[in-house]
Amino acid sequence: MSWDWLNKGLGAVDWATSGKTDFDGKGSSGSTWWGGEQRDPWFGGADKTWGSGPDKGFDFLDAYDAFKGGYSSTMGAMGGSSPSGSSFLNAYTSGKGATPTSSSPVSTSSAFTAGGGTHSMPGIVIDKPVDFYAFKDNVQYPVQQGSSSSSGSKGGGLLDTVGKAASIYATVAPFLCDIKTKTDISPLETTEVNDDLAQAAFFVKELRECS
Amino acid sequence: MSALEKLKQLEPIQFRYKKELDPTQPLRAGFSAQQVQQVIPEAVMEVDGVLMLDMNVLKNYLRLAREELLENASKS
Repeated sequence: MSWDWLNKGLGAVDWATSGKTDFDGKGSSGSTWWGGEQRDPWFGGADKTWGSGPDKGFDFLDAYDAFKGGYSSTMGAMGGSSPSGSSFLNAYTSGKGATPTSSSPVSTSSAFTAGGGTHSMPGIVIDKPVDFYAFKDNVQYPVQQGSSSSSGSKGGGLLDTVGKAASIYATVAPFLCDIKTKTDISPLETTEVNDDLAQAAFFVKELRECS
Repeated sequence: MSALEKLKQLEPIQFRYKKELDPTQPLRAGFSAQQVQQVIPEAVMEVDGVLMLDMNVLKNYLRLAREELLENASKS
């Protein structure tokens, strides 16, 4: 899929209105946001498919499913008891420190050692078995709406804090947008990641520039 | 204020997550949660002092804005 529209920031609004507006000045036709595909990432397309489309990439729940077996002894809120307060991200970081028994760059069904035992990671495809990380493209943490900071430790640093957020189970899909987590910030021109947040950002950018 | 007007007040940014969070650091598009909080506070949640953007709320605003755009287009 080409996402030139995204890199150029054009056509998002016209696409959203099915060509009834002409924000990009290209007329009412020829500005299909997803290159003519039926998928509609926000509003539900003709195929009623939601989501980020073919570039969906790494998915939190897929990752959780893959990890919950292997990390069942250390998982937090989503995986049962957590004697040491381990978070989901801690499980990730434990995985980063683990010694993989396979160096395959694709298969995640290989065994690895972590937490004193040998485990397997079925079900997902990643680039590097030892490079699981919480901020692969499109990671969306399930975080309980309204959850607060009442029980958090303050000494764990940003990584622990984010991990804690990731460990709380819920139904919403938040993006980490705190300015404290970001660097190299500037007004939106382009992106290397096509996710829901990027699409929303370009939509707003076009609204601001063209209306 | 309408959803459309609120969305127009958001300031899209490009950024990278800090290296400790994202070692590959691709350039991303999004918003500052702090800025969004000033415009659409219900779209921002706080977990242990870190602000996160609830995409479900933002998508609702996008849908409302789209309806406004369609309504405006039908009038003109």
